[in-house]
Parts: sequence; structure tokens; C-alpha cells
Amino acid sequence: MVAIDTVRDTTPGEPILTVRGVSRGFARGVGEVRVLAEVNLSLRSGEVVGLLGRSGSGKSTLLRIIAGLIKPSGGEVIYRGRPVTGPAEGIAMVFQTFALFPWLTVLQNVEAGLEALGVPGKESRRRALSGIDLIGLDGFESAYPRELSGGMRQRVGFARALVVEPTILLLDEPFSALDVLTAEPIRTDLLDLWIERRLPIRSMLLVTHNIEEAVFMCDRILIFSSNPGRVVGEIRVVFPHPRNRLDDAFRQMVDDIYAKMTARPTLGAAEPLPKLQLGSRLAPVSTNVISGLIETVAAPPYTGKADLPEIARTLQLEIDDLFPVAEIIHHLGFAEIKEGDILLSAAARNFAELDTQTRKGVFAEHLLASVPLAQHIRYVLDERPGHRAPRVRFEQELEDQLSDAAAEETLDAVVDWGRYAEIFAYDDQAEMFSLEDPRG
Amino acid sequence: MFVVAIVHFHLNPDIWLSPLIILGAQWYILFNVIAGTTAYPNDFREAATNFRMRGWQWWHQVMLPGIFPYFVTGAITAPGGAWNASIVAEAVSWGDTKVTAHGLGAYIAENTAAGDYPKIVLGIAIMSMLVTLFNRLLWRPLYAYAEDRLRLD
Repeated sequence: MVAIDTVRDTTPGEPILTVRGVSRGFARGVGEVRVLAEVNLSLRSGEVVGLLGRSGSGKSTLLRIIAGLIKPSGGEVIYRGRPVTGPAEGIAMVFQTFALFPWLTVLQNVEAGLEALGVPGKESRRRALSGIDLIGLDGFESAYPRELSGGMRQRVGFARALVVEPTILLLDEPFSALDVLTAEPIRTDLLDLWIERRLPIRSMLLVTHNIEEAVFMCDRILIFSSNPGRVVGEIRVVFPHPRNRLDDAFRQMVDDIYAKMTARPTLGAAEPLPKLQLGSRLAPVSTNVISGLIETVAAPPYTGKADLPEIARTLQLEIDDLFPVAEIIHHLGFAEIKEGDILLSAAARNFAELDTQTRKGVFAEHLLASVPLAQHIRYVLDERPGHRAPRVRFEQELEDQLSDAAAEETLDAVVDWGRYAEIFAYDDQAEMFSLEDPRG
Repeated sequence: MFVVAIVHFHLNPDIWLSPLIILGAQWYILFNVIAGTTAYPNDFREAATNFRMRGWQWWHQVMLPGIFPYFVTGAITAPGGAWNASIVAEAVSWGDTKVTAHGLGAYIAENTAAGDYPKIVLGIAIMSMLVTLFNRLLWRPLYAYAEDRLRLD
């Protein structure tokens, strides 16, 4: 398709939807754990806005609050001058998992939203068929979702949302369950339809953790930080469509966003990551991956210093895979993460040269010195007469500050590292930490 | 309690003993359906809410097809319990008063009490045959349909 009208009206239209001071949390023994904190944003007519953040940053939660699927614990969402209290007319959503009903055909799935609106039979059939044509699904009307490939299923998801002629289209990581080759044509088809103004929608809100996708599709990108989720930066993308991913300016913007996302803007971009606390959430990163990244960065062509976006591209890693590893390496004192770069410390360069056994010793030293939770578990085990402690003891301590799932994940991560470093043993059947040497 | 009421009001046992049989069988279906609703995918629920599907449409396009396979599983196991219950329930006693309905369960129960072995064997053989027939002709096809059409994937 040829993109016409590539220069859209860049002056912002009137706001269609406003999010004011929205927060969301859940009660926790003492106080509460916040998933979203004081989020403000507005969606204007004619723009595509991206919510970019890592998993667990609450961006999907925010989308569901906007859709009226869950209630905020504070603040409000104003749509067409009225607060959103439930699923509103004119806000349709496309799901990451497609969420097509497997017992309905393509046509029935697409018609479902129209039937709910009370559109009469004939009219509903006509609109559904034209939506199916528009999104390139003609010929598949009578197929069931399981007969379709992932890409075709998501096209059904788009058709279902578009035929109800929504004012706002919410996209919840719609391409992340698809492989690169499948996702790209759907992205460009959607953008073409949007640019040619063949869609009834007035604004799109895209949740994604893929930086390139955000720069490729959006007019404005809001960067989310995690724990709790909040907007920490806003970037305007003014490149005309169709955008070229290999363009220098495009590449530069992707790099800049990487830098913004690795830095902690609250502390100033130049400052290092905050130190780990006992209740800090830890990502379950395998020790193999930790060694792998250290070795990769230590070896040529990087020899100790590398650009994170470049590493992500070379290793084909998503930021959700790369960032947690980079941060752990940073916390363990093996590297410095600053402005999208990773800079190995002397200890790490040394680590890369060592054999497995010596590595374990060095890793143990760094683990005990820099991860308070590992330190704490070891301390408790040393102090107790039997040198044993149940998992639930530490889990409860963590749950004062983390959600149940996060506490479990954090403890699993430390179990894995502690076992590798041989600073304690863990019996998963009995859920018991000990200082026993498994070799007897 | 039930038996007391039947004896007291002189109710027709053929009709009024049925609730005992039905109650004995319902649990299988009930617990399976509860399992089905808990296993129901959250994104389907969200999609239905987002597109504001309600009332009859919600039942027949969203919820019922999703729990139907669980209902069938429960319904396949339920007759086993029901037949079992029928032996007990079709001939019940309250003190010296016996209430008997007409049916296979009563037939087996009465002959067991009388110790008439050939008749017990005949009764049980017929019951086994009925169970098999129901399974083959009703539940199996429904189960196959559920597997084929209503699978969540």
C-alpha cells in the first residue's frame, strides 16, 4: 500500500481521554504494595501513544484501568467528560493472547461485539464482512481460530475491535506473541490503514516493551518505570511514515530511549542504580546467563565496554531479557550500567578468565557482599543451632514489601545463586535452607 | 428427613424418591462445573467485558461453551453415583414402614434382602448394560464434540 497523507496534523487535537493521578495497589500486612503510582496522561485526537516499559511496570494494569476492566485505587480516568466506571462504549481492546473464543468462527468472533451493541442482523453481517476484508481475512470467515496461524488470529482480534467503530483502540502488546516475520506485516497494514484514515478510530494507545516497535508506530512515547509503575519520561516521535528502522535518526532515538530506560531519572541520569535492600525485588536470572554476558562483554570487540542496544541486537535479546541480567551484574559489582552502556569492573574481567571452581568462589564473595537477602539467609543459618531455616520464614519477611508472586520469584533467584555459589543448600521438597554439604 | 415426609404425607414414592437419586448424582456435576469456572481463561472474560457482551449472549457465546467440557465430564461420572443411589433410594425404610418405588434399584435391593441370587445377578447385569448404553450413545458423542469444538487453545 502506498502511504498518502504522511504528514499528519502534528498540532495536538483535543484530549479524548485523560488519566488523572491514577494509582493502583493492594493491601499488604502493614501498608500496601503499589503497582501504579500517580499516573497522569492524556490521549488526544489523531495520535498514537505508546506506553513503553518492562514487564511488571504496571502498563498493562493501566490499560485495563482505562478500559474499565479494573478499578483504580486512586485517581480517575475521564473519557468524553465523564469518569470511566466500567467498560465504556467506544473503547475497544486488542489482546496479547488474542482472546478469541475458540468455539466461534472468525465471522462470529468479529460479529460478537456488534451483537452486544444491538446492531441488527443484516447490518451487523455487512459491517463484520467489511471489517474482515479491510484487515485481509477474506476467505477465512467460516474458519475456527485454531485453524489459523498466530498472525491470522491476531488479525481477527483487530477486526473484532475495529468493527465496533471505537473512538479509542487499546493495544495490549498485540505483537509480542508473534514472531518478527509475522508481526511486521500486521504492524505496517495497521499503520497504513491509520495513516490513510480508513479506520474509524481517533486515537490508539499501544502497550509494548519493544523500543523499536514504539518508535516505529507511535507519535508520542511515555516511558514507564517499575516498582511502582509511573511515567518517567515522554518522547515525541516526529518522523514521517512509513518509518525506516535503519535510518540514522531512528537508530539514535532507539539508543536514547535505551539510555533513558537504564538510567534512573529520579536520581539524575548520571547517578548509579540504587543499592539493593533486603526487600528489593530480584529477577530470576540464571548464573549461566550472568557468566555468559560477562564473557561476551569481556571478549572482543567489546573488551569490557558495550552499548546495551547493540548487545541486544547482536544477541537477539528483548530488553526484558537483557535488562535484568545487566542490572544483576551491576548489583553484584561486576559492572557499571550508565546511560545505556555496560562497563565491566576489574573483578569481572578477572572473572571471565577463571575456571568454574574459582568462579564460584568469586561469585560467592560478590553475592554475600552485595545482595542483602543472600547475606541475611546465610546469617540466619549461621546463627541457628541446627543451621536450618524454612523457606517460609524468608518468604514472609519479603511479603511485607513485595507481592506474593514477586516474593516467590525473588527467593527463587537467590536460591539459584546461593546454590551455585555454595553459600547454602536448599531442599525444595522440604522447603528448607541449610548449611549441609550435599556431598556429605 | 425425606423419608419421614413421604411416609407422613403418603406421597407417591415413584415421584418423591427421585430427589434422593438426583441429589446423590449432582455433586459430580457441580464440582466439575466449579472446576470449569475456575479454569476459565481470564482473557476471555476480559474480552467479553470489553465488548460488553451481556445476558443471553454472554451465556451462550462466552460462558456455557467454556464450561461445557467440564459439565460432560461430571455428567459421565454422575450416573455411576446415581445408579448406586437408586439401589438405596428406591427402597427406603423408616422404622417398620417401607417405602418402595418401582424400578431396577428397588428390584436389586429387594432381592438382595431376600437372598435371591439369580435375580440379583439379572438386576446387576441389566444395570451394567444400561450404564454402558448411556455412555456409548449419549456421553461419548458429547464428550467427543466438546473435545473437538470447545477445546481451549
